[in-house]
Amino acid sequence: MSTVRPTGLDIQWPTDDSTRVPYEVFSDADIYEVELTKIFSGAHWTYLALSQEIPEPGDFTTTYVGERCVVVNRGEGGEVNAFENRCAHRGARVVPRLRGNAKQFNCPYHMWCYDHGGKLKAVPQQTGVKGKGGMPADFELSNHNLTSLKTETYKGMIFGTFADEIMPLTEYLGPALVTQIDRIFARPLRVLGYFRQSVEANWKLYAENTRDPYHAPLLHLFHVSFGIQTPAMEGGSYMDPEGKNNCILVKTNPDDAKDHDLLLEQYKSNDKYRPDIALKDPRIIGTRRSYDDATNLVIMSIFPSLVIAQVENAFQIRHVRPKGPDKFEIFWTYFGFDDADKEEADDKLRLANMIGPAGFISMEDGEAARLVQEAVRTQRGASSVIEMGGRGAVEDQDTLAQEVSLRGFWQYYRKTMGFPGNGGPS
Amino acid sequence: MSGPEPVQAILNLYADYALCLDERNFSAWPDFFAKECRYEVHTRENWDLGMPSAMIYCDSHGMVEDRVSVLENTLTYRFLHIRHMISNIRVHDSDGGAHTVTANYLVLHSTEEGETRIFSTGKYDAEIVIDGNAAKFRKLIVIADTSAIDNLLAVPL
Repeated sequence: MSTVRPTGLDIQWPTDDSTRVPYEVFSDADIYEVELTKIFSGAHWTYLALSQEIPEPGDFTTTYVGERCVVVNRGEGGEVNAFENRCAHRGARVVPRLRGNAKQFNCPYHMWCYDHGGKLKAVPQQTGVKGKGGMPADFELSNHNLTSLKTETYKGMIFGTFADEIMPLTEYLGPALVTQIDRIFARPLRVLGYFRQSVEANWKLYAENTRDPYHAPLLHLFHVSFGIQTPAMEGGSYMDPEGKNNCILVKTNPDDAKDHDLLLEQYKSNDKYRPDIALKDPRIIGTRRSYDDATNLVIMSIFPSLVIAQVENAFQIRHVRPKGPDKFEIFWTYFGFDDADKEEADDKLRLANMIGPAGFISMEDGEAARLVQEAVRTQRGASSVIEMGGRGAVEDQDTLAQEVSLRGFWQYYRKTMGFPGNGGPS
Repeated sequence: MSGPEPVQAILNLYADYALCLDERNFSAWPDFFAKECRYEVHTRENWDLGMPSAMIYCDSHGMVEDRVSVLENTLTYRFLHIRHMISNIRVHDSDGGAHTVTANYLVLHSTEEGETRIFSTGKYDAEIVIDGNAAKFRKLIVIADTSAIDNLLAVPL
């Protein structure tokens, strides 16, 4: 008798507390289809754009909610609109360019015309030509609008959702995340550039990575050798009540320099701590802080696909865009501040070397995800081990030597997807 | 006047630059830059939008040296064979002792198991000075049409 290999929601989770994650979740096509429906098209807020990217009426930019292309624009009255970029007629992309300004949106295929809110305004030859053809007499324009998204804007960040029923955005983010967003967005932003990193791995491997303070000083030698994040530094992980969103915080401390001996001990089994490494031009380390506090690193991971981060003194929004079960893009919005003086503005250009696809730190996260994908893509019945920081309940952590915050993600993921086990129906 | 004509020196610079990176002789890469120099790698997307930020931004020779010393000493990245194809090298006017030169590039990556893909294509906008017998980049601005980086950009383009 042959056994049918479990796929989709039939795969087995070995533990209720998500200390084991079955590798099928990173490659199974059926699971991915459920994710697109229940997560990306479900009752979750997805980051769309910055309000300042569409300053004038008619300005638009495009993004993705899951794999659905979405147009975000500003209407004649200054309001923000978002609609799916798929013609209500025969499914063509209505807006073929990434960014621009439009008085109205005409589908290139048959010139169906939509307003900024995605409402169908006109259909060419609706009443036929010379008394022949045309749409049926009962054809109503108002029944064929584009699929619109509900939007909310917080601190200039526009979020959208396809869901009709959803909790308010700030409640969705949770108090710990709102506090950190308020800190980073206290000054007016200036976008300095966009970066795109195309990673051949499942999007959830990046969701794990950005919730994982354990790896940072181990994978990223640059982090530890230049004192950006070391295991000895003060920090922790703080979640929203559902465990889906997480904020890793690392602070500098006057004792950091004294902790070098501790680091030598901790790193004796490898060569990842190199106090001997120096930069010829060290202007990317220790720049004058954009916020004059002890915060050295903030990585906010907001379910399902947003990261807002401060790495040393470089600030970014990273939007994770899934492209099938085995590929995702990280779309980086690198920003400084509109009220910066020349010194701060020049520093930010040099600090770009830390982040993005060529960043001394961040390039390695894509590589880590790719290495996992390559090794687990055909694994069935095997699981990862997530026990650093302990088993059982998912709670905030006042240490960086932990992976509990990953289990927060998985707990919420299992519940949302409808997998049996902790947090979901059993 | 001794030494090669400027045009020949400039053509040699591009050929030697490609050879250096393709042979993974990274520590020699900073030698292609003049003492006062600038090396930037921009995406076409940012360039066309007028966005100031580059993926790699070096406004001193020290930063050029750091880029490869970090690469050799600290970074975890995938081992790939690299092949630069540099073409359409056009020497434009010279201004204040520097030659303005444009060129196209194509960089191919091949895995250890021998699979090849296009990693990046775009253009080089350069200012080149002749220093003795050798031409050096005073400024090399890389504008990558390939704005979406395949995984990561560790080795300079």
